[in-house]
Amino acid sequence: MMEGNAAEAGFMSAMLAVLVVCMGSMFLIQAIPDANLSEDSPDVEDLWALVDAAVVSGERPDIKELSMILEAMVDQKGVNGVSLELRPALPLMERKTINAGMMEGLRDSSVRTILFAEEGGERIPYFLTLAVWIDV
Amino acid sequence: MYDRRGIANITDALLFIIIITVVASLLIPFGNDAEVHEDIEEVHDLLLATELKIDRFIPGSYGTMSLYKLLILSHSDDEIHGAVKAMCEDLLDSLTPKGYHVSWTVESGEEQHLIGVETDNVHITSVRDISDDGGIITSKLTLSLL
Repeated sequence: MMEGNAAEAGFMSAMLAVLVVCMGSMFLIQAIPDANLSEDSPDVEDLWALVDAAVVSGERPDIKELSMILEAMVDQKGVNGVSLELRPALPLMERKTINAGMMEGLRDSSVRTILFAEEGGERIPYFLTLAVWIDV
Repeated sequence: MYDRRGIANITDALLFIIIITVVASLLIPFGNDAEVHEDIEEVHDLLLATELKIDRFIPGSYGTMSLYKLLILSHSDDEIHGAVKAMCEDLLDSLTPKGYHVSWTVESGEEQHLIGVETDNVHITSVRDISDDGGIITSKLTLSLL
């Protein structure tokens, strides 16, 4: 009887250990990407706010205006470089990429799909990919 | 007083269920139905809001038209209808989340226009009714697991 209780306790301890390891892994998986970033550096989502100001109208933004916005991003502390790609969802349409600063450091990026009104009245979805290189 | 063996078995079973749940959530981090639902609604919005120059399909024509209207109105001309369908397929391919197969059906009256191939393995569906001069147009977008 005593041996049975000891075996049960051992089994339960092993199960608890597995549970703790699993939960620890989940925590680490979520925490590691943020742990690499400097606390002072803006992340890609912070920088989207600046792009949003230019694209909110629904008109395809002017490349010069976007270039100035990207230059302003590079001036922020910890940001080495920024890149914005505008890729139409339809084939045979020109894609545009704007770069500012140096593409060095830790890269973070995200994609948004936005419908732009083109000259001539067309309304076409574009994939906007914003990438940022920051100090580690 | 208590059946200690029985309590231990229940505890073991509960622990086992918790561990399986945690492991499953680790293994399927991207299978979030709520996100996929948001994605399909966003794709549907973009499809219905896309407007193209008629000149792309009928050279010399003036003006723009919604993609779904072009699909409906071009049905009488096989060549133009084929070009519109090809454009719809390209757009659907671009907008569809990775790992899914997509089909889009536009119904107007008794006419039905299908883009892509319908499968039995439908994962999620989005249906919209659009009021039009000629009645109600129904747009149905389905995502199936590959």
